[in-house]
Amino acid sequence: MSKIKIGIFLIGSFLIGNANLQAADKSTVDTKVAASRPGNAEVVAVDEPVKAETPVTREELEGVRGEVATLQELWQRTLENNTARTQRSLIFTGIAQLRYSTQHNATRNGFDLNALVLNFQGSLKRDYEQGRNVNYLFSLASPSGANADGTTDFRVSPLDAYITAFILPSLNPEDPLLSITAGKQKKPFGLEALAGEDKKPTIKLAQSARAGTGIDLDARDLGIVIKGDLFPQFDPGFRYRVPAIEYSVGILNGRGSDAYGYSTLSDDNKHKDISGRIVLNAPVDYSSVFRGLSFGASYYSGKSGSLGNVEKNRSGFDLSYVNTPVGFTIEYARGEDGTIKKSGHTVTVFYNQGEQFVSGYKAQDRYDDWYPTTFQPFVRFDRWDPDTSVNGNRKDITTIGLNWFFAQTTKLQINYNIITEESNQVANNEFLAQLQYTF
Amino acid sequence: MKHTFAIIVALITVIVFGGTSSQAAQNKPNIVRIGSAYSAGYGKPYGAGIIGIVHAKGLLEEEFKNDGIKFDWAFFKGAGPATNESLANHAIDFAYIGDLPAIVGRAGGLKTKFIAGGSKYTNVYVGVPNDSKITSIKDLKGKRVGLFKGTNAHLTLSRILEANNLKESDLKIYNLGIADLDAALKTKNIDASVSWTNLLLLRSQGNAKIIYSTKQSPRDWRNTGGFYVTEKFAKEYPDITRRIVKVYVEAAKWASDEKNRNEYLDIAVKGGTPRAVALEEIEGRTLKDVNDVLFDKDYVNHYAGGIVFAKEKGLIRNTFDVNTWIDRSYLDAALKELKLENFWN
Repeated sequence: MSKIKIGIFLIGSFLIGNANLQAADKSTVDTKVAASRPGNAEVVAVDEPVKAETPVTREELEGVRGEVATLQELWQRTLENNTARTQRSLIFTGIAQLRYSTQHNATRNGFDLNALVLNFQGSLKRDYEQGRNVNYLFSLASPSGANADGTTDFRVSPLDAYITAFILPSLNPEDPLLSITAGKQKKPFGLEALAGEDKKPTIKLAQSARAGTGIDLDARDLGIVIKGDLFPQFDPGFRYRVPAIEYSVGILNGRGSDAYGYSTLSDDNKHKDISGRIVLNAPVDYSSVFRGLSFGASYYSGKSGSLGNVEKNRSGFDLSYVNTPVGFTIEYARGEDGTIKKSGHTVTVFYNQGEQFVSGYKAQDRYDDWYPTTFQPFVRFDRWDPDTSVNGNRKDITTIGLNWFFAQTTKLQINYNIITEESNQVANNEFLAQLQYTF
Repeated sequence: MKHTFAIIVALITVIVFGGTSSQAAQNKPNIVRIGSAYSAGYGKPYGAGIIGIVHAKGLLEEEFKNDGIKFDWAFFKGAGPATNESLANHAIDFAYIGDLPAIVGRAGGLKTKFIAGGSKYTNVYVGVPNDSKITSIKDLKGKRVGLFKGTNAHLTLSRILEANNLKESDLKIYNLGIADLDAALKTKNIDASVSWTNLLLLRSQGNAKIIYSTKQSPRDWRNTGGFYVTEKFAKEYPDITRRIVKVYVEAAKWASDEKNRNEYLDIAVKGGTPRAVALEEIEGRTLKDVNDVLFDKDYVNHYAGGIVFAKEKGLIRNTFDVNTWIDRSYLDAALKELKLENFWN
């Protein structure tokens, strides 16, 4: 809206300014032209000089002013009637995932909506001087969890609802960052669980990160998380910033999501859980072969149940190398829920053919709706043991997959999951295809 | 289900290995990707300098029309740093880029060959809002100064500050792209902007005044550009590289001819720079001087000095010998073939 208002103002200023310029005497006009080209006779000679022609009359000038006022009123009315407005800056985005799945020996297959997410985000306070901004995110989602009978229905749940305040200045890339986030958010644990949608290679999450069957790493929780980094290295020749250490620690309700992935909003006991994560990044220049090498460790300690008497601990580590064109991630996570101990790990190797993850390359001056097509084939091995004290219950999933980024915000994912269950010898490999678009 | 698995594996195999095998078999690339850090910053896909001439006149497409080689042109909004990023990720084969980002990229390990000069001695300006009381570089102390860090203007600012006994830490530097620099100066969210001809445009619109230009300083303080090829491409396709440099030199020769001045300017302003601004930038220089491609002593010393300066200012960690970076063979061959050995001397 403000842009349009500015546009009206500029048009008005231009019209009135020109009219005033014409109404002024010749000497004034010449002075203004000369002032706009200080000390540059050649430039003035090349451009056609503005000539003072017949001055407009006051009536004509008033007429122009009246036309501008009418135009402004017309625009104002159009804005009021046809434009949605908010009190603060707002970016409205969304994600939709249409999925097709079929499985050996399954009783049904077909299309489903894996997830629908609407995000509302922006700045509540903008600090132009130092970047101590206060930002918000509010999102609604129809999560990907299934009902007990395996079906899904369309239920909407708050996904994220938080405010982030930057405690330290954030404008200089050579300085460390520190922020605090309060509200419903991801807990600081793990690698895949914290990755954005475009960085997650598989259609289905790693088994350890899933709600219900796993240890719920991907689920949001309510609480406060402090996040920051230390010893940042900034390579100005590439605008590349990498902190040697990243850290985050949070105090959370710890209730997480229910068995179907729907997040809960309030705590069920007096105990608060603590989660923390530290990442050591290779502090190297952008063109170093070690760029993208990181080691992370995560820890979570809490209690569950209405009495808060059931131990709920998680720990894990991850090693990742994300460079061009190849990369890998290794992630291990273990959890304790009461007396039950669980563990899982994933190993993913991928290859990027294209510039999907080269931000500078994507920002080009082009007329058309251009975007670099990228193919990302990958292989993943995912092992999950739901109870380490019991033999014969491990489940392995080997995924052969391909991600095709074919438009700026759209990708097609194809996964073939080779499933091996110690407790189930029936062939149950599955094929998944998912179209994900964001706007 | 087994068929599905086989299809996915076959698809992946084709993607990973398919493209490279066909290129290797032909011993010439299907496509040559050229990236330029020199765009006007107004969103139009046209480059500045000699590479802008090559692109706008379609000279490479014409030269290689019988070879089946396509050319992909990238004009980066992120200027030098984005060009470096693309080189590091093997997204481009040739680059037209300013002095400091090229130095920083090479010092950081980019494997490029410096194969020709270009965009020599363009100016950097310091602009302030019209009603600002800032009149000199010394007045910038403690002020909010906008700069596109990592670009060649960064090197010039360092030199300007040193000459005025100031350090970067004496200023509040805001790292902004060209469009953001202009917007921030207009709205007075910064007190000064260190930038290029976009400041001349702001001035002509009545939104800024220029308090400093490198025109008033030693020529070596100005920006220069250059033309680069990745070592990998040059090694795989030496003849294609030679022919591309030859076309580049032909374009420079054409652009150096004063009888082409009007057409040269028509191309130079395609990116959105007003003609008057383009003229003011090259005021007092011949087109031959502007479009000189040689590795002459002053030009090479400019880079050698830039390397030392960048090291002293902590912009790079490792220095290197500029002469090991420069590969004159392509340029010398082109000059000889076109009988231009003495044209720019």
